[in-house]
Amino acid sequence: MTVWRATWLILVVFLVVALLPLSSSVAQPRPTLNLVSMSDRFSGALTRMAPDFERETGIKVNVTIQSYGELYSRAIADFVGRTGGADLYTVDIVWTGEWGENGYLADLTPMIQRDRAAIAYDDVFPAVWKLGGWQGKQYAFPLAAYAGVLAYNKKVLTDMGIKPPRSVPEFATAIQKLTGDGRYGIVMNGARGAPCAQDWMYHMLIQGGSILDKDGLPALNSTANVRALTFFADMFKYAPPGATSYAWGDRELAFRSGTAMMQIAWSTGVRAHRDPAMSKVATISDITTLPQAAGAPTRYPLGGWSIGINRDSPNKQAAWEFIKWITSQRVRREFVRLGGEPIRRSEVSDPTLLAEFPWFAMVGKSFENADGDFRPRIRQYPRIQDILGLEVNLAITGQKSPKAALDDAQAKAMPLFGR
Amino acid sequence: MGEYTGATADRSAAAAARPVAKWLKRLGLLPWAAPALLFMLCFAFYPLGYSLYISFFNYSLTDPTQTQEFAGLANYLKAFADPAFRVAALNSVLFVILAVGAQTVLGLAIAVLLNRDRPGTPLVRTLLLAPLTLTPIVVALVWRALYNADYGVVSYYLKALGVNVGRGPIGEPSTALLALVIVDVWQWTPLVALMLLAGLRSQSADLFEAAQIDGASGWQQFWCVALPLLRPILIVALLIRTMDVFKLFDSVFIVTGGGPGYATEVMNHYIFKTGLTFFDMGYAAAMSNLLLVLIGLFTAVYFRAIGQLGVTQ
Repeated sequence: MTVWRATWLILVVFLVVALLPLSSSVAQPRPTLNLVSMSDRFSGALTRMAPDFERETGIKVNVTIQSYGELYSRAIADFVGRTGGADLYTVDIVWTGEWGENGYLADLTPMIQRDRAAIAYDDVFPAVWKLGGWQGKQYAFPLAAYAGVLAYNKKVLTDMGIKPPRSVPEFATAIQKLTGDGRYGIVMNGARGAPCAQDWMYHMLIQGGSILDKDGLPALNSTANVRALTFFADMFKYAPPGATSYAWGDRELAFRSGTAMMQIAWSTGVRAHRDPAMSKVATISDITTLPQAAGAPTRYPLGGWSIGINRDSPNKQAAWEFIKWITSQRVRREFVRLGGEPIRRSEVSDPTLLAEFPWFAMVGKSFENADGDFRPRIRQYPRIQDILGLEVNLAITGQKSPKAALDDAQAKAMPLFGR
Repeated sequence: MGEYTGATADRSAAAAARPVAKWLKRLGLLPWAAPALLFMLCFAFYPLGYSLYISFFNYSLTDPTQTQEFAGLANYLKAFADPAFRVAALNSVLFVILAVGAQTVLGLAIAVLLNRDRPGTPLVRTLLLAPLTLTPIVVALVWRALYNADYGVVSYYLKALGVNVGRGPIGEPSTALLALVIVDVWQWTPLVALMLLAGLRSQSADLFEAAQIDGASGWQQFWCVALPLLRPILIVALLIRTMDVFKLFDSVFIVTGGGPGYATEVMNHYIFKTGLTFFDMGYAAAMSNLLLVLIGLFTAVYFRAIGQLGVTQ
């Protein structure tokens, strides 16, 4: 009896041990992904669509939404500490160089090449691949692309017989004509730091200027840039008096309240322009591509966000599955409807989306000639932006001449490149 | 039998515990203070020591090689040569003088007014707490809107009074720092007032009666009796506010971003940008230590003042 019992026991133990790997592979739970996203319009779409992905694949995605600064600090702390705190991060276009060069993100290039047909690679605007692309490698997948556009009060311009400006002189004339009777021709960000630096960069692009020269070194005090800063500073005469301390929210408010007639802004803000609950110009505003300086190549600003995988994520495959899903043609319509911005040609020509978002046609036109490097995606960019944020502010508040401000900016920027 | 065994066990346990008790007695109060000391060690002394350590290195968190190159005093010398840091230090000192000065004068005036029991005084005392209950970020956002040159209430009334506000209180380099001082004074004067009021309430009425009998006027009673007795509390209030104002960050970050130009750049904001935006940890640590020294200098001045005035007791 004891022998029988012992034999049975051995057999049961053997069977349990033998079946253990099989059972663990069968019952292994699908991973949970942690995604940290910028608090932008598209983050709402990510949150609302994550349960759909879980229903389809069994992979849960926890979406954490953070402000710009918090997201950057959290990501850097995670990358440097190699804590693998999040599997996925949304990546601002200007972070691409730093994050790619430092190897913070997993290289998606092999996976993109492998799944090229499935992800409909060629449907994504070529310029939009700059979102997450760095030195021939793709570290993050484009998620929401923004075009820098000229938003204008169509009714007032039409009533005054002013056509949307196509050139810099036309732009200046329109701004001046539109100012008066409690109206301001234009509104721009003037607050020190990123607000005024980024708004000035739109004007720099329009005037044919650039942050770097052909050798990749700072060219902040080039003739075109000084011209752009002179123009930018002059235009504050036709902006609301407080504009020198405006950031994005104030600028948008001035336009949506009908106080300012024009502004250069990212296309992601157009939904708010057209929302009667948020805008007094909901039915009378429109957008167009930016005016261009004579002789300068046609270049329109490109910005936006991509989504990348933390190099220390233990769930890279699942994370890639999510990226493929959220950027796939199949779900993009819903993603865009819920707050995302287009990245694909099929999205800006989709009749359903165009019926809801008619300005997408103009956004698509801008993407065809987009310049994703007008704010250079290099690791020195945050420093350059900070330098310009100070010097441009000093110029628009009359504390320095545009030339002196950009000369000083150049002198401060060169050491960042070891010069 | 059971009782007998228990008593033996108790005795042996007591005998075993005796050396522990002796050991504890020898340590005095140390075991009781140990948790607090451990906390201080982990969350105050270690970070402070580490901050001092990395201030001697070129250490950038975003440097892919993560090398920490010994730099000696280079980060400190860089701070002294950095025009932005020098302006930030000057602005910080100016801010402390203006804000703490105004808070002390106004706080004292409010405390004296509220020290008299009149109808409605308890309600006013309670309402005084309102600004203190708000988080600095909320206060900053509200004041940013109030100061807006185009739709802000402050600018509106200034314009109504015929004042040319130009680019608005926070848009003009000449008024931006003062505008931030007003925000700080609005929020923190009540704290100073309440501290001083508590001091005034604790003063013995006998002293004032004696002064009155000696023929002292109301002003003389305040100047020669109340104020000298209030000095220790005044010094504590000054210390707390000085340290706090040197750490000013929220309102600068939200309202002006340090601008226009350098007009409102203060040390803490500049250190934040260097350390947590550009991740230049060595330089940020060096500047933090210099800020610590500056606060230490102010504290020393206050304590010296207490000593000279003979109010330490």
